[in-house]
Amino acid sequence: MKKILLLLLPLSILFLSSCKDEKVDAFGNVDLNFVATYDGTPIVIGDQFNYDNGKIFFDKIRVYISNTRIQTDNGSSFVEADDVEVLDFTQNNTNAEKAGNGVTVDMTEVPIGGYNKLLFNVGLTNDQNAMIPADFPAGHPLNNTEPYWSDWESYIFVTISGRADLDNSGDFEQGFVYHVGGNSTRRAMNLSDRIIVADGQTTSSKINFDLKKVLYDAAGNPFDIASVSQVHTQVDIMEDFADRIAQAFSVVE
Amino acid sequence: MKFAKTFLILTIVSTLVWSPGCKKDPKPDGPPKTEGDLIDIPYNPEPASIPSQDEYPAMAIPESNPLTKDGIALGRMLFFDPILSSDSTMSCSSCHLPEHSFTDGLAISPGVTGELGRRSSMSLVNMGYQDNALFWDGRSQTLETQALLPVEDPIELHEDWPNVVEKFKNHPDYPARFRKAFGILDRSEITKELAAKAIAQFERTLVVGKGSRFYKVFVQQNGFPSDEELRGYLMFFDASNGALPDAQCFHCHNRPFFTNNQYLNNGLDEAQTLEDFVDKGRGAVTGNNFDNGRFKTPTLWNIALTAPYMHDGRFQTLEEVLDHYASGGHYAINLDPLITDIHLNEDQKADLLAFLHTLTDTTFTKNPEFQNPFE
Repeated sequence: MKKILLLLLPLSILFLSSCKDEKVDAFGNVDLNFVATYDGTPIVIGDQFNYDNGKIFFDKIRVYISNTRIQTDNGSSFVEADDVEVLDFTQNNTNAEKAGNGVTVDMTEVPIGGYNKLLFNVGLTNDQNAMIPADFPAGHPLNNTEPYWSDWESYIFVTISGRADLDNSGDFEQGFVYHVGGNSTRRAMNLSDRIIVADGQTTSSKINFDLKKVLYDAAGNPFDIASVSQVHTQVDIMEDFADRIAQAFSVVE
Repeated sequence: MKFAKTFLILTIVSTLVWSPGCKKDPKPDGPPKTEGDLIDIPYNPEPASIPSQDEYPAMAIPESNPLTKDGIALGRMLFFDPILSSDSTMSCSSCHLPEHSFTDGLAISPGVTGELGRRSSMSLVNMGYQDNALFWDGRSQTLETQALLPVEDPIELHEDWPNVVEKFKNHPDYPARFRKAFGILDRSEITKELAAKAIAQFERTLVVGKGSRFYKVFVQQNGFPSDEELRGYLMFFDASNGALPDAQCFHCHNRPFFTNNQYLNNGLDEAQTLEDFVDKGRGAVTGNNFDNGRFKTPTLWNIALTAPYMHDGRFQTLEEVLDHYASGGHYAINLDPLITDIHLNEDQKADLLAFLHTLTDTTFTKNPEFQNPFE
């Protein structure tokens, strides 16, 4: 009997410890599909849209977002693994299908359950923006030297550019380039977004970035492209643009 | 005695029988027997690295082609060796000369037949940092794939790779060098892909800047720029808080590489429709007509050494280039919106020129490691 007990003891310890290991949390994935639109229509680079009394098209649209996370119903939050993402619609939106699908930020191993908010920064955190491309490894979104202003010690958080035919003449004579950067132009987004994460499943959420809302104010007045065709150093105008850009994001499904 | 006689006869017979075997084997026709013929040559790859440089991010080196000293050395030889051309008269270096910062000083480069190519030779400096495809039109994604193309281009080296590989296999020196660079066991394993890898390794070492006045004065802040250089700098980077015109240069030629690696229409030709561009440029690669007339932004490092300018070499001098940009360029619907009339007077253009000359790095062009190893 003693021998049996001696045999059972290690077995029971083994059993208990294995029970502990088998406790596995359940996870799913979340795809955040960011779609650049103009008045709700996905933007294909070079495609024309109505603007004031004329037409407009975009040739570059790029947005850096950081600290992306979704918040659970009980208020705790889940932070996305990569702390910075680049929504490069210039590279992505080369045809209608790609433009409609948008740029996806995927969140993996998200604990199952209900989430009710999507939070992210348009722009980089101060710490991220204090670094330069050389500080990041090859392949990192911030390793790219192209969107970095060395003399302003900042990344360009948002790039929007294109051309406009303001008099509907058929010629797109008016170019516009809006570059927004610097810590004061970072905007914290807090969007209601009902997301249910199920075990082993991928849940999608679609977020529109509507550029008509950037170029028109709340009263429906178009931005004066002819007077302000370039923004890249004027802090007050960049901050105004940052506000316009922030209210252009919305969760649509 | 009888034994001695028999021994003598046997000796004579055996000498006659064996004597042909003592003759040296006749030289076999065709390539030498190859199986494992390089195995006795040591393969001890010594890793190489790209020296760090202020402001430069880490270079992305493909895992499939790590830099080694022997790989770079082989690549350098292949780069300068006319063995890559059909008539052994041209090499990569024929259009990419170190003294011209790896361009050739011509508007359009001729190939081995004398026929002119389509575009101007691009500078190869900082190629390892290019992350948005290669060539003026971006038709090649990597240095490894890029290096394959000029050999078989009928208006460049006009050779075919199987023939080049045969030349390597029969070469007195290259099989051992491929062994040292890539660890192949015998010469039959030499391929065009290995040759391209070696050339790519050499090209990744072509890092420019440290010997320039810009690096010394503006990056390391060791010394002071001249008044002209400083004004040029402030206009180039729009860093004067409005005191001087924004010359709009830095948007496309930003630090540290002085290129944004993008494909843009910089207003060289007027086009009423996107189909009107004679050279479609990027559009011919992507199939997207909005890319027609777009070409890759070249680096401005050593720009004073790389005349003539633009993808077709149309401008002979930097003064002509500045005049073009100051004019706002020619209209096309995809003209980059940053190309606008910028109203520079002659003094301001001279200041910009003075700044552009700070980007000259002759320690790079004279670097012994980048020169022709056959001279």
